[in-house]
Amino acid sequence: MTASITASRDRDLAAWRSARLNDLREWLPGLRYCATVYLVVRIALVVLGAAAWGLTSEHDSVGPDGSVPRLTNGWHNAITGWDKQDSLWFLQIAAHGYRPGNDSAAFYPGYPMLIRLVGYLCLGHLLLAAYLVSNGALLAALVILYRLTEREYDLATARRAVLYLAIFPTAFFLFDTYSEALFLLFAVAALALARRGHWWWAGLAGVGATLTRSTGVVLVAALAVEAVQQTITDRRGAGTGSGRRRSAARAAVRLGASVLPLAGIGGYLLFWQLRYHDWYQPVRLENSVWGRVFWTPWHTLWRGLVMAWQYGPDAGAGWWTLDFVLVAAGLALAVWVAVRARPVYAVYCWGSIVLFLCTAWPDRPLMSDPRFLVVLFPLVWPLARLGRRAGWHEGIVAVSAASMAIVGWLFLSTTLVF
Amino acid sequence: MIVRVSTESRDQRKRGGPGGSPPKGGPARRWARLPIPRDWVPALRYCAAVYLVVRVALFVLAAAAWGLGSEQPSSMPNGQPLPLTNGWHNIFTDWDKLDANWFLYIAEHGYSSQGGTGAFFPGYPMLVRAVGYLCLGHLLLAAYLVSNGALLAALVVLYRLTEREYDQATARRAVLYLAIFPTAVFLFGLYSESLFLLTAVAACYLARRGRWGWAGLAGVGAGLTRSMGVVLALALAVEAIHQTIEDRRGRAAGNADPAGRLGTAALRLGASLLPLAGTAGYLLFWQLRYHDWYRPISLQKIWWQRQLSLPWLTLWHGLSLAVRDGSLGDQAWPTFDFVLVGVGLAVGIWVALRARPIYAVYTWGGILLFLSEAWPARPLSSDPRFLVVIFPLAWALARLGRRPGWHEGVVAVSAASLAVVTWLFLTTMAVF
Repeated sequence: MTASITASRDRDLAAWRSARLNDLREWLPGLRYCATVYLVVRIALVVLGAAAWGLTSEHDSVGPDGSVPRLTNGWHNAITGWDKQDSLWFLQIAAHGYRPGNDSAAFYPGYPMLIRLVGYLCLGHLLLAAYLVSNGALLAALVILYRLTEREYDLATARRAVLYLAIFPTAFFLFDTYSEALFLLFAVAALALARRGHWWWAGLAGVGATLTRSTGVVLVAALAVEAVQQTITDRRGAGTGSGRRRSAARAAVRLGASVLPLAGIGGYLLFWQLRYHDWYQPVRLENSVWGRVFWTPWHTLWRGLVMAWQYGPDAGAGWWTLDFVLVAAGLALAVWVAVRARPVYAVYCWGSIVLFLCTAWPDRPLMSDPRFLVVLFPLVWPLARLGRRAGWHEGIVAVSAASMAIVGWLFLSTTLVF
Repeated sequence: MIVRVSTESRDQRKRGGPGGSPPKGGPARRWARLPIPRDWVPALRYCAAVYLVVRVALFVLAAAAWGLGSEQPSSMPNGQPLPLTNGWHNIFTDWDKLDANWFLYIAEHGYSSQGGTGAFFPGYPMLVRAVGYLCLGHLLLAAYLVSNGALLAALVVLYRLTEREYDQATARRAVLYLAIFPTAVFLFGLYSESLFLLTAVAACYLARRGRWGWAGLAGVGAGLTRSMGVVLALALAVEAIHQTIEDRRGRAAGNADPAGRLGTAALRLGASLLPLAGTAGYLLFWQLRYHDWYRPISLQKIWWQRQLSLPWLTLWHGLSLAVRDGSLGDQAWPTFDFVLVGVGLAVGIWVALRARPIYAVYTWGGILLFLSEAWPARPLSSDPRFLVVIFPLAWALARLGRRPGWHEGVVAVSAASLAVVTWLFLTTMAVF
């Protein structure tokens, strides 16, 4: 009897191991492809960093404490040339934590917290830790995007989607020491897990997203829409009686999990309340320090267009036009997502777009918005679908890579791309 | 250019051709109405699409460079700075800088015994002036028409030549890679590179088809356009010998007339020397007009401070400066030159090993020629530009692009490099 139970356990264990191995094998092609794409772009960006240092007179970036880090000659600029603007803030928070008087509250804690943790493993080298966190997160995000796209479309679309995201015009922010890569990982993981029905894990990933960037709140709406859609699909196939009751219970679980991401943002505000008795500080700073005001999205867009047209032909004044062109391209792609993609992705894209268009800096209304677009991963799907047509794939790769090189160059050599 | 319709193309017509049979009322029917041999239509259609996309992208880049960069005014041949004014016109006028100024100046005023005009060969400015009459004197427009028309034609001939040497897929990749070559900006700009490329690739194509008289004439055009035309004479001579050897091998079993074979060989060799007539004609013009045939050559030293140097010394000096200045802020131009030339040399090795001798000689002759003259302060300056007319380099990449993933890699890296080099050309005075 005991022997037969042991044999049965062994069989179960072997079956479990075999299933896990099969799961891993399914992930391998995605991992191999994404790692290759990541490595090529990563090396190219390091070379771009060296070139921008050697071929331009770079401007100093002002640190969070108002100091100007001294720029020095050397090959290290291939890496450290990217450490500017928001990167400096994240590193400062990772090193010294939050302070009520230094405007650091506007930067959510997910990324700097992880930098600090990984920093211990890197013997206190925070820049290295920052690269490890953001680049590790990016690679993981690309692999999950690959699998998700394979599920929603097909393998060829998945390969193109990963490539297009890695060379998106503002994708260098994903490779840099910014929080975009980590947010992208949490966002794509949350939606992929929800699509597979792992709702609690999806909710947890959502918590990570809201701890990383304020736009994480949009995930709540997106996950809720997916929860409703899955419930409707269930009900259609549930029949009557107990099937419907089970369906209702599952719907409650899904909806409960979909509001979990609010815990991340709530936790961060609570931290500010408990530590500095000012839960509103992270929200207030957007206005008081960064000068962002609440505008309706169409007003922001209209002002962006007017200023783009007005200043476009003037030398050294094309920043409004740069913002507008990139945002307009993003909006055009988002229209495809709204019309052709599953509602969860449409809500995620448009919720985020509306959110960032609602907070504008009057002097440059679309400033930073091109960067915010890069985490809206469903935007690469219309391009990946378009890339099926002969010649379009090459066109998208060439235009996108060239745009990323130029926007990256501007980021490195000026202080006007945020 | 008259092209004889081959047996293959007649067969293709019967079965609908490589582009498929033209449906009634469709775009192919419109193409069929053009006076173009049908087997050239797919090449023209593909090259026109590639050309248009890159052309539009470069105009957009010019607008961006004006709006987002801090451009410096280029100095005109008369020493005056070219005035810069705000406006969307910069999309087109921004390209009128450095050598482009010289070409437009020569097209308008002709050569002068004073100044540095003699260093610029007459093919391009002469055509700009001729087309300028049709453009009611608008020389900038004429310069665009000549250089961009020549580029499109060069891409089409390259497509056909590559199709002949390799296959259609390689031809498509080669055209694309050449159009987004890191220094392809000079092919789209108001420089003489595209006209030279057209004459060079046409000469090689015609020689490969056995049209030696036409090949020699195309070579004359090359010799009139850039000094590198002399290399073409050498490459054509090698092809003439190669074809003669092939003929001998092919007819060894037959009973061919040895005297006839010798005559054909002499004809080929004679035609292959024709490109020298272009260069000689230009020097003769200087002798007859200004009694100084050496002026176009001496100006390279007097005006541009280029000195004769052994190719390996130029390279070594370039490498030393690249390593020394590479990590210095705003001083890495030697590194920029060396990286681009280094990549060109690496690709050139493939051509030497795998391509037909005519292309290996054209490639390495061109490379050795430009490495033989160096500006000591920046030994490899301009050399990345000179690489862009060495079209067989695109074949090495096009063959590499057959492997999965490599095609996207080449397209992405090349397009990104083109964007950055163009940006630097538009916003600085250090890329020429």
